[in-house]
Amino acid sequence: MIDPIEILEVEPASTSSIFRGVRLSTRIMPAVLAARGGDWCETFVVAEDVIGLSIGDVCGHGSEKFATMVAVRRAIRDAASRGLDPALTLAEANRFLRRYDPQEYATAIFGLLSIRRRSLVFANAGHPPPLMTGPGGTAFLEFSDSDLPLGVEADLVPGLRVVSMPAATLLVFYTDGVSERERKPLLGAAQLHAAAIFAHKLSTLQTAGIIEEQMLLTGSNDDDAAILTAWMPPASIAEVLHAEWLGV
Amino acid sequence: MKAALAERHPAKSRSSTALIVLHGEYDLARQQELRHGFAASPLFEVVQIDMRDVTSIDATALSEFVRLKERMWGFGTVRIIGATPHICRLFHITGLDVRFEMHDSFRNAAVPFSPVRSYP
Repeated sequence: MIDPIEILEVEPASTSSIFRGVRLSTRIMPAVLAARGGDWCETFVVAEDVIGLSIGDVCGHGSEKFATMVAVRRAIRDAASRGLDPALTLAEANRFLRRYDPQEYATAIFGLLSIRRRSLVFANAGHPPPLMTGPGGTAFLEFSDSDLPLGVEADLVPGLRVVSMPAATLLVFYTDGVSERERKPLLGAAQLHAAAIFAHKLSTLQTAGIIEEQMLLTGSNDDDAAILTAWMPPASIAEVLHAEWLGV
Repeated sequence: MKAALAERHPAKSRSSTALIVLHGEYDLARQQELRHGFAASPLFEVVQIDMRDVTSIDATALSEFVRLKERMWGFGTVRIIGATPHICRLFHITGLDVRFEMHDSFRNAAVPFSPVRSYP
């Protein structure tokens, strides 16, 4: 059996791909002076038209958190591959983390992006809220009630959130190393808001890298950071005609 | 470095209140300091944490608040006093705002408390 850490040793710091029209990109940036960190993000295919989006942050940073990060990330992926919904996936990851290292905590979001339904179903265990920008505007996907990070309570089952993902919408997942750089979270949130709008207008495949540049993170992040983006394809002519026919 | 935990009431019974005063930025570099400062909390019925002079906390510091709450679980109350809006937001994002009592000032805390403050 191959050691999962060996696999991640050679994982590229950034990825970009297109799956059924959805443009996906990731960027993982360990803290400066650290070879590896405790933040992760990844995308993977769950079903014919469903993409799994996973991001998280093991509290602390640097190499010592790397092994825990690998284990939790894999637990999420394994649970998702068994067909569990995002809330139950994170509940499973929570149980795993409590067994694996009772002293550790991790924040995480896991989401299922349905291309056909143009919707995102996700659960959030204490992680900074995703950001969505598109023709309808820009907003953080925050809710009045929040869920605890993984590892805090034995019976955590975070709430399940459902949001529609209209055509030409950009979804941004990120860790606090992105939004709370220089210990100025309010400023960081505003900068991220602007960076996402810029990246949406630029409309390139390397969206996560563009946001990294806009946030001036390159080579200067003192905390681990990760960015994941998913860009829904514009509506096809058939969809537009269908919508007009329905009077939408 | 300026002492971050300026004062803890030396009570020995669980019918008492502790005050922990925090200052400045809390991150990985000060995680052990925070852990040490919170260590005696389970001895107290109520722990009030004065955060009026805290400018920022990161995830590692937040994890110490989680540990504090775990140690107090079912046996006491933790009150966060005077946290800035962005620290309040962090507590909300992580769901901790409903696990702790959050007050903007001592005056608005549920139980009157008049600590003798002694900053170094």
